[in-house]
Amino acid sequence: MTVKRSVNDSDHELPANLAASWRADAMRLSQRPEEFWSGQQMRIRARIQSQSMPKPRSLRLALATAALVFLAVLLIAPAGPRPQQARPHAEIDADQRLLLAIEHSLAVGTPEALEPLTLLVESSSNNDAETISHKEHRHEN
Amino acid sequence: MSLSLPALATQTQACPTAITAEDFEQTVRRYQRKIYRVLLLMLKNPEDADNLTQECFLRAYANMKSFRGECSVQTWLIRIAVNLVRDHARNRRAGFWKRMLRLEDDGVVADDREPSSIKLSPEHGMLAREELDAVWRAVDSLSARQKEVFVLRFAEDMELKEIAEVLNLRIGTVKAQLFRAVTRVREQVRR
Repeated sequence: MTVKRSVNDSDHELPANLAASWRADAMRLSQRPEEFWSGQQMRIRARIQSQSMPKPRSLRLALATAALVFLAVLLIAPAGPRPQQARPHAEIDADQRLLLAIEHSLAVGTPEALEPLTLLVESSSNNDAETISHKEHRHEN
Repeated sequence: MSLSLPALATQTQACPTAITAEDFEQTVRRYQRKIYRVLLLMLKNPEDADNLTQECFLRAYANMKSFRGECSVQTWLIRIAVNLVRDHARNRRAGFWKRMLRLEDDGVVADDREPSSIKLSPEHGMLAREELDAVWRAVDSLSARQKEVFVLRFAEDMELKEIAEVLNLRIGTVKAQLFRAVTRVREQVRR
């Protein structure tokens, strides 16, 4: 025959004086000087701050990964026809460029002493223009 | 002390009892002694207790956002501390086997060192001292779970409901564990 013993609240408790003594002993054992606690606070702060700093190693790793991904995309991308650059419509030869530059500088303002030269250039440029239009006309024909 | 901690969890506005980064400094100051005591009584090693106290607050800081005030800050912190003790015990066991294997390879006898034990004060009367020593011996011989329950009940004077909350157990389980722990301590004291 087994007797089932009921568990009451006193079964969960130590004798009061023993519990109090043990608790006092436990408190005393864990007592530390104030410097210990302030030092511990500082260590906690330092560890939190060091963990919050971005890690240069992981940053480098991220950059290297990004570069690799970029290269991979370049390699994988299909090599289609490349868009051709627009070419200039008309090519002006060096003499004409020089002539235009002189005309421009003369138009800005010509000293009296150079007026004959201006006339010379103008007549020359008219001749050139006629020559060009004549050439173009010939090409059209 | 001015902690000036990084504002990791400044957006804990959802719950009025949530901890903000600004509050954290105060939280450390308020609970560090209690957490250290719990850890010291469970581990019986001052150095480990100090390290794990720091670790406990680091974890708490990292998880501030997830703390929504469903339990008290004390319950939350002690729960973290108890989990750290369990992890620590697991790591020690793993470390023991690693040392064993390494030492066996070297042909040296394994040496599983016990943590430095707590020294008891000589100031108590002889009889009281003997009784207290018996309690400490009994506590040492308890299972990890029984020790957790015993320390939280008798050192921290916590209610069974709060212990159940900390250890994530049913209150009936806490009662059963405490009953076994107290029975063992009583037997040890009677000897």
